[in-house]
Amino acid sequence: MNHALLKIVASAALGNIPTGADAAFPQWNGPDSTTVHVQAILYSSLAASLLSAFIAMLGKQWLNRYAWVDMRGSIIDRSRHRQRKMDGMDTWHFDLVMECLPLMLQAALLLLGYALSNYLFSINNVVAGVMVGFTAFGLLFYFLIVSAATLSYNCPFQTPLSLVLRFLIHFDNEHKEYLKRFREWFWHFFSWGTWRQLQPNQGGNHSLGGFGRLDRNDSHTELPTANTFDQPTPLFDKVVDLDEYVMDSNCIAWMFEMSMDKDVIMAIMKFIPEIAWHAGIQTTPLQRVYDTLFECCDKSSGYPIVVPQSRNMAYLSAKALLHLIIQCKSIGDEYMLESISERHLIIGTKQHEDNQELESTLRIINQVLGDPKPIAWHGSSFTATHHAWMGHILLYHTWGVLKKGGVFPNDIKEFIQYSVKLQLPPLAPIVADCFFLIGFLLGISLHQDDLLAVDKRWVNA
Amino acid sequence: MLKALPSLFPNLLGTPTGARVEFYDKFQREADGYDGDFMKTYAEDLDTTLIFVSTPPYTPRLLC
Repeated sequence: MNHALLKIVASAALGNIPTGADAAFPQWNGPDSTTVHVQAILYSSLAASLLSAFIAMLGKQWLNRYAWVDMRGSIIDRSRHRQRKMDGMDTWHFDLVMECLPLMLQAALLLLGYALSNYLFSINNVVAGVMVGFTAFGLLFYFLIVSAATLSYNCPFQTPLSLVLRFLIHFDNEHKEYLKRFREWFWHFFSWGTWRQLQPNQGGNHSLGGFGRLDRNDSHTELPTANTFDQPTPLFDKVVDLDEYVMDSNCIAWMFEMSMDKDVIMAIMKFIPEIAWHAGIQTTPLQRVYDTLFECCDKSSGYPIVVPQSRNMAYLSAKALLHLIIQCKSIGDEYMLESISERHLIIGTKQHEDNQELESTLRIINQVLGDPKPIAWHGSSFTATHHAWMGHILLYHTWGVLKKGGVFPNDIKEFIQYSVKLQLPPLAPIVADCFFLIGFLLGISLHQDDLLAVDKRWVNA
Repeated sequence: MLKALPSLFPNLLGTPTGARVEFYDKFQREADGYDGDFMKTYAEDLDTTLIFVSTPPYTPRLLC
């Protein structure tokens, strides 16, 4: 058509005015504008669908990569490697990317419905009406379920779009509060009872605006990532690989989330004291361990007493809890212990005399969490393993007390006397801990890492 | 005194201990079950997506 128009203009410019059929204005002989418009939308729909297919195929490759065991080694190495991959899935929001696929397909379906409705109107209004009716119904239904899912986290019709909206609303609440102001205006304007019932609950965790608090790590407490207080120069070379402990802590956090099995919980509790919960570990299951310990107690008398059937679990939980508390104190983070200290009830004074290992552990917990009553060691009887573990815990505890400017506790002196006066010679770790404690008593200050040093023959100086 | 002390805290080495091995044994079992479900769920979702996607490419031809 352009060519014909140019030909007419060129002829007119040369003085040859076209006449008859040559002068007729050229007509468009391609598809009409509606068809072009509809085709464009249909191809958009097609492109969205193909893009979904492309991402779906990539998703299959990502899953194959996740399932592929690309590492040889012990079960521990493989498990850590697997946890590293799972952490990567969380960090890079694999689930969100996968949930975007249906979103693209929904957009493609919407474009298809619109294009067909538009096209059918040019052919037959009745047929087009049916198409428009179904498309409008689908749209309205989608709008309603997205609205419901956005307003209520408990709504079962959650979609990726509603999650994105909830995130944006939460983000806005945290920063600009444009939506909050709009909502207040909206609810003020539409103040009917029916509308009121739909108004989101401002205070609940599961309401609009409380989305950010629905964290999978509710049972975990944030640890600081830096140690700021001054310490003396380390005596020993730092040879401990702390990254492995980070992976161990991630595995424990994952297991706590995944399993409620008693055997699994006991295995976790046994494992926690094996880990150095250093400042580089982001989360610690302190709250969860504390709750587990108190689940082993009967509180009907208003005073927590360990149930006899749960003594094994209570002992392991108490050891794990004490280990976590002491290590948190050692890295200078008192903040995370405040919530526990505030609600802590003194447990275990005379109820567990027949189980002195549990009793001693509970007493140290009480003392560390604020009970000023000193611990009497004379007459106690422990297994060598428990004694060695306890000596190490008390070494850390004393280090923490002295670091804050406190005086050397008298019951720790008594512990040293008790340990060296045993009928059977104490194990080497107990002797070493006692030497360290005596060093503290003499005023020798140590770096925190010195307590972790693998082989204490390798002194820097 | 410090130079004379032997290796004290083998548990802090990160070397496999009974508790560590027991934990990771249970972890592996739990992870196998979880990963199986994880893979199955996503694989089914992706298959559904691919089946669904296979329809629209023919629609533009309807109008030609």
